[in-house]
Amino acid sequence: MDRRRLLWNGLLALTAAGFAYHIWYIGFRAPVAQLAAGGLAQKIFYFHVPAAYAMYLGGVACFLGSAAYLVSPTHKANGWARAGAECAVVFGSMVLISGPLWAKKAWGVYWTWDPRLTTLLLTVLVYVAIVVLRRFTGDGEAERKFAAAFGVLGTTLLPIIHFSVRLWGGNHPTVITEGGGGLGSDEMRIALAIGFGTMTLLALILLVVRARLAVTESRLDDATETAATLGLLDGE
Amino acid sequence: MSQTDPATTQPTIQDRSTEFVPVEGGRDTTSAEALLVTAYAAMWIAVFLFVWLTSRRQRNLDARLGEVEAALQRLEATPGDGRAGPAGGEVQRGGEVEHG
Repeated sequence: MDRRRLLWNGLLALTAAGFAYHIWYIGFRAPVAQLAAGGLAQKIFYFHVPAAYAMYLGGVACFLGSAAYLVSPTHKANGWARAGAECAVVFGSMVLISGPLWAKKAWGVYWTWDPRLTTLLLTVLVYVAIVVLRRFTGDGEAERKFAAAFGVLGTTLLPIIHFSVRLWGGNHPTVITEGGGGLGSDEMRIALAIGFGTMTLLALILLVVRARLAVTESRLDDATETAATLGLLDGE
Repeated sequence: MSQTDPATTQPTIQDRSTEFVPVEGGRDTTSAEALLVTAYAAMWIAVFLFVWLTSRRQRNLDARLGEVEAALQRLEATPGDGRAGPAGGEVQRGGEVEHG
C-alpha cells in the first residue's frame, strides 16, 4: 500500500473513531443542561454547532473555487467550487434538521423567523440553487461561470449569518461567542471540541472526495467530447 | 439569565441572544429523548445519503470511462490503425490527428 493511500485510510479510521468517541462522550460524560436550554435535547448542540461550522468550510471552499474559476478557468477550480457547494448543502441540511428539533424543546416551536434561522435558510437555498444549476443545466463554460458567480455571492451571506444574532437579536443564543455565558462545565467544552475536530475531518474528507470526483468527471466530459468529435465513439 | 417573565415582558436583544426564551404560543409536549435520537439519526442519514450518492456518481463515472476505454481498444484492433473523422481527418493511434 502506498504512503498516500495509507494516510487516507488512516484519516478515515481516525474520523470514524472520533465520531464513535464523540457520541459516547455526549451520551455518558457531557452533563444534561438546564431545562431552559432544552434539558437533554441540548445535547443536539454538540453536533449542531460543528455542522454549522462545517457548512462554513464548504462555503469557503465554494468561494475559493468559484473565485479561482472566474480568474482562471480550470477543472480543479471548478471541482472545488462544485464540491464546496455540495458539502455546504449537506452540512446546512444537518443544521436545519437538528436546530428545529432542539428548538422544539428549548423554545416550544420547531421554527421561528429568527434572523439567524432565516439567514441560514437563505444561504442553504443559495447553495441548493448552485447544486441544482450544476446538476440540470449541463457543464458548459457559461453554466460554470454563472454558478461560480453565484458561489462567490452566496458566500457573502456567511458573515451575515454569523453576526445576525448580535446585529438583530432574536431567539438564537450566542453561547460560545462574545457576550454569551459560555458552557458551564469542562465536559461540555470537551464534547464541543471533539465535535469540531471530527466534523472538520469529515468535511475535509467529503470535500476532497467530491472535488476529485468533479475534476475527473469534467476531464472525462472533455475527453469524451473530443473522442466523439473525432469519430472514435461512433456506434456506442 | 433574565429574571423577568418572558410571557409578559419582551426581553432585550442582549437577554434573548444569550439564553433560550420560550416563544409565545409554543408548547413543549415532545420528549427530549425522542428529539435527541431523531436529530442524531436524521443527521447521520443525511451524511450516509451523501456518501451513497457519491458512490453512485463514482460508479457512473467508471462506466463512462469503461465505454471510452472500449472504444479505444476497438480502434487499436481496427486494421489500418484509424478511422475517418467528421472533418475528413484521419485519426492515428496515440491521439494525433492528421488533417486530410
